Order: sequence, then C-alpha cells, then structure tokens
Amino acid sequence: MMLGIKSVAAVILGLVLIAIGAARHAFDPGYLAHLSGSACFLIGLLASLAVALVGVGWRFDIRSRTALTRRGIRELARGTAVRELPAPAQRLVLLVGFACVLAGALGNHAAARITQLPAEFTAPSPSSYCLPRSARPAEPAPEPPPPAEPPGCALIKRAYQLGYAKSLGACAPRPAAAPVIAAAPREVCTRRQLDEPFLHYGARRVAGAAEVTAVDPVIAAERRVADLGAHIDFLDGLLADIRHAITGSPHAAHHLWIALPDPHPGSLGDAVVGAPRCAQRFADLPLWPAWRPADRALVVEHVLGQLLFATRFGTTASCNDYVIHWDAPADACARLAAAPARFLAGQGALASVRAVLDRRRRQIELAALAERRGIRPPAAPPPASAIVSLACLVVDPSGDGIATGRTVTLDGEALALRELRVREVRGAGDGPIDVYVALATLLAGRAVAPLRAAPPALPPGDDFPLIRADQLVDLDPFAGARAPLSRAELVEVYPFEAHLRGFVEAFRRRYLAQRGRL
Amino acid sequence: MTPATARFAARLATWLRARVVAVGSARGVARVSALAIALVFALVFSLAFLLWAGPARADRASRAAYVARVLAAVRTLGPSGRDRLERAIYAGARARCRADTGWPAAACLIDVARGACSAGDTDCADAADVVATNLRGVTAFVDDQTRVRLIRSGGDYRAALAAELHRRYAVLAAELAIEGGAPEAAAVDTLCAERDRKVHACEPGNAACIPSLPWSRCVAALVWFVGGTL
Repeated sequence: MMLGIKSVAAVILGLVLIAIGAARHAFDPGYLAHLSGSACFLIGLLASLAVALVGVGWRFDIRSRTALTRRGIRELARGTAVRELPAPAQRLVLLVGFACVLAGALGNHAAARITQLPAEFTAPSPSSYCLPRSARPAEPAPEPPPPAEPPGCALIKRAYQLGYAKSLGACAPRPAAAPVIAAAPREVCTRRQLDEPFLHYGARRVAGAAEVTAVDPVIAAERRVADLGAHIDFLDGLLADIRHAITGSPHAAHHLWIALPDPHPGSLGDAVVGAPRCAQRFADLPLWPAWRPADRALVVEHVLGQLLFATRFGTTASCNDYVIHWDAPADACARLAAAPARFLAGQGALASVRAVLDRRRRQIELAALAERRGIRPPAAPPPASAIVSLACLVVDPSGDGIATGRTVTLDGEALALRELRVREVRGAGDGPIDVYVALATLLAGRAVAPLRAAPPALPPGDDFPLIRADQLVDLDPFAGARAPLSRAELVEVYPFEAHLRGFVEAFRRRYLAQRGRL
Repeated sequence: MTPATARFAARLATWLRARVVAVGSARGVARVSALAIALVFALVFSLAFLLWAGPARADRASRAAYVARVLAAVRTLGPSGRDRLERAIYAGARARCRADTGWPAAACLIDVARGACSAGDTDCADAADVVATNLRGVTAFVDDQTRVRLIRSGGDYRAALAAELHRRYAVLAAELAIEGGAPEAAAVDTLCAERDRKVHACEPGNAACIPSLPWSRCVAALVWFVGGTL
C-alpha cells in the first residue's frame, strides 16, 4: 500500500496543530461558548489566509510524486497509482489545524485589541493636538482635619465630662479652618486644534516664529532687527560661552599647594590604566585609619577628603574643581603673591584659573545681553574670589599655625590667597585632629571649634565599662578632649563618626557658603 | 684564662671545625643556608605579627569576654528580673539624672546603677551596665518625632518606648544575623566596632534604619535583645 506523502503530511500537520490547540484549551467548552463573534471571524479569516498561503507551495491539486510505503519513502514513477486524500480534504485538515491553533492563541481580548488597532493609530496624539479635557468625575472634597487640641486639654475635658468643671474654656471644640484649594493655572494650548485645517496650523506656526501675531508687523520686524544687532554685538561672548560648554572648561578652580611629597607617585599601573579619579579616591574613606610616621602626606590628603568630599557628611564640594599641588616649594605663596601669572603658569594652573575667570566674564556678558533684549537675565555669577582660590600649606618647624590671607590680582580680578605654616603633621595619637583643625582654618578662614560643655567626671573605679565607654560620646576631641586618642584600646571603640560629623558639618556650613560654581 | 676554660674553648673549636667540615660540601652549605633563611623569616614575621596585631587582638579578646559576661548576666536575670532592673534604673535616672543634653550623664547613671544592685551581685551590676547604657542610647535609636508621638499617645510612655526600642534592637540584631559569625559575643563586639565604617544615612522616622552608633550603645542594645529573647 502506498500513501501519497502530501496526504500523510497534511494529516500529521493537522494532528499536531490540533494537539497544540487542545493544549492551549481551544476545545474547552466554556472558552468556546464565550468566544465573541469578532474573535471567531478573526480566527476564521486568519486560518483561511494561512491555508491559502500554504497552498501556494503545497499545490493541493497535484498528486504526490513520493509515497510512503512499507519499505519507507519511495520516489514514484509517472502514472503509478497511489492512495491520496482529495485536495479539498487536505485543505480542510489544514484549515481545522490552523483554526485550532488560532483559537488557542487569539481570545476575546486579543481580538478586541486587534480590532481597535486602526482607531488607535488614527487617534490624535496629545503631543500634536489640543485635546478636550477629559470629563473626569469631580473628586470629593477632602475631609477637614480634626481641630488641633491645645496641650493639657485632655485632663480638662475629662474633668468636664465628670462634672468637676463647668466649662471647657479654651479647650472648647473650635471649627477647623476650611481647607484652601489652590486653583490650578489654566494652560493655554498652542498645538493644533482638532478641527483646524493643516494649512491654517502651518501659517500660525510660521507667524508665531516671526512674532507677527501679537504686535504690529513693522514693530515686530524692528524688534527682530534690534535683537539681531544685540546678538551680533555680543557675538564674542555667545561663541565663548558655547565653547566653554563644549570643551567642558572648569566651573571653579581651587588650587592648594602642599609642601609634602606626593602620596601617590605615578606607578606603572597608573601609567597603563590612568590614576584614579578624585571622586573615586575619596569615595569611601575610612573614619580613622592607623597611620605610620611616614604617612604625613596621606594624612593631609585623607583629612582634606573628609572635609571636602566625603559624602557621609552631607553636601560635598565638587571634586573636579580642586587641584592639589604636592611637593610645593616652601615659599610657594610668596612667589605666587609676587608674580601670580608666572607662578601659576609654571605650576600648570594658569589655564584652569583663566578658563574659570573667562567663563564668569562671559556669563556677565550674557546677562548684559539679556538686559538689552529686555528679557529676564540669568542669575549673576558668584564673585571671582568664590570660584577661584589659592592656598598653601607648609610644614615648617618654625610655623605658628596661624592662617594668613592676602589678595593677588590676575587679569584684573582679585583672588584670595591663604597660607598656613604648621610645625608638624602627625598621624599618631591626636595628630590628625591638628590636621583637621589646620586645614579647616586654611580653607574656611577660621578654626571651627564646636562648643560643648565637658561632661561631669566619672566616679572612680573600673566597674560599668559600657557606661564608661559611652562617656566617649560626650568627649569631643575637637573641643579639647584628646586624651582617649592616645589609648589604643579606646581608639578602637571611639565614636569617631559622631565627632567627625559635628566638626565636618560645621566646617562645611562655613566653607561652602564662601564658595560657588559657575 | 683558667685551664678549664682553655680546655672548653679547645673542645668547642674542635666541634665547630668538625661541623664546618661536615657542611663544607655544596649540598650541606645550601641546606644550612636555607634553614637559616627560613628561621630568620619566621622570626621576623612573628615579631611583625606580634607588633601589629598583638595589642589589638588582646583588646578585642577582652572586649568580647566582657560582652559574653554581660550577655550571660542578662540571661541569668530572667524576664522578671530584667523588667525590675529596667524599671529601677529608669526611675532612678528620671529622679536623679536630669539631662539637658538629651541623655543622662554617665557619672550619674553609674551612681544609679550602683544603687539598683546589692553589693556583690555581679550579674545585676553587669546587667545594670547594659540597661544604663541603653538609657543613654534612646535618642540614637528613637528619633524625636517618634518619641513625641509616643508621649501624645497618652499611655504608659515607658512601656511604649520599650516596645519601640525592642523593634529597633531587632533590626540591629538582624544586621548581626546577616553578618554571622560565632561565638555570639565576639560577633557582637566585631559588628559594633566595625559598623560605623559604613555609612548609615537614615531618613527621620524610618524605623527600619539604624543610624551610626557608638560601640557601647550598639553592644548594649544587642546584648539586651539577644539576652532577652534568644
């Protein structure tokens, strides 16, 4: 017996499709009963289309040239008789199979979504058209809050309820003030109206761009010409502002010269992958690391990071605005005061300082342009002394630890120059506290000493170790209680976070108020 | 030089000469050199380790031992004893330790804790140390808003505060469980000594966030929770 391969394929394919449909609950009576008319129509349409598409390649009317026999699949000679399903029967089998799969895949919801698709495509977009406000049901007015009860009224009310008081007096219930509902400002829609012809909308846009709708066209043209003239007059500033934006010139420049060796001399790894960025270096600073005597520069860098960039203490300064010049000469500030431009150029700092000053000058020019055009000018930039600062920290055995300040002039701008000469930088014991105070003095201009009364002395004895350790919370090393820092067993449990937070926050309140960014 | 000393010196010289001859071969020299280098390295590393970790390790061990002691004391007291001690110290601190800075002074609390326990009762004294420290840590665990809410609720403020503190201590204990480590006293000490290395920025009123804590308050809270519930 020989069966035509097309018939066999049609039957197998049909059975597989029917099985898939059955697995997708296509024959579930409840599901079929609730299938909507549009879903049924869609299933029938798509199944017919699928069969028609398959039929192009299948060619139902042509008999199979290969047959399935007991010995396998064989090529047939022309005119060999073979059992074959009629072409309509093959179509029907495939149609039923496709319909089953589609019935499992396409439910009422999918059919509804497909039906609505053309309407969704042609619906006006809110970004292009002025749509009428949707008629939303009025929201119920919020319930008035209960009247605030003055303190101590609970007892008086209770006494009144029990008859011990004749009146509630000031505790009598008062009506709460009616809530004030602010009227939302109504937005004027300038997009295309739903019934507006396209040409009218186009003309309105063109007229709006040329400002000829609100005023006399002649006046508008004159204004245009004046505006253009103002832009040409300030062209230099406009182009410079764009250049600053594109090249990413700094928004502030704060240079600090430190007369200590660079704690991170370039390594081979840095040469290959680049030195870590400032923000990365100060991202996760330990609170109170242990230092070796040779770590003087690391101590200074750590303290600087805690004061300015540690995020755990709140708002930080911008890391990219600061440049530390290690290995600075001991007379850096004197040379800076004598010849600012030459010294800054020699240290590679002149370009960034000039870029900031130029950026500020351009912003002032743009404000003048805005004033001339009669529009609201942008906020005035901070003074030059707030966005550029120069400071020197020198370790000098004869240093007095007192910060001195003076002003240097560069390109006509007065810049603050501060110098502090400290006797030593120590990492052991309470040495870092001195560094904190010194750097805070140098940067913020004055020592930041939190006021805190000394706690009462503990009674003698070594009992109650936990409470005695808790006394450390009251002993602020920045306020003078430094003795515990020389005891290793206390340093391990010292509440540095609390004390450092108090000092750094106080410092930043003072320091950040003096600084700004463009 | 006495004859006996001369004889000893001659014998030592003979012995050394024999050893030198024995190791005179290249193989012997290499073996002795390797042994000497290894000994020197071992000596240097041991000294360095002792210098670096010796004192710190001793401090940690003594702290952990004290934590284990107070933990045992809190467990020994039992629920009623703990409640009685807590009430006594709370009342004593309220009566005698008026605090202008937000928490009672440590010196005053030591006096109160001494008065709450009879002489020689070390378990009571150890537990009182925990209770008094927890009393100083109330403001660190429960923010002002929550405390005002508890006062306004009109019930027993002390009980309400204790319940609120218990919830916060449980969050801290969850941190301890996540960090893991045994024995528990050493784990408590390690967690509390190292916890502040991470940033704990809490929004006001967020009961699920425990802010930065001093070691003493962290230990006292954990000991009170672990000793009282686990």
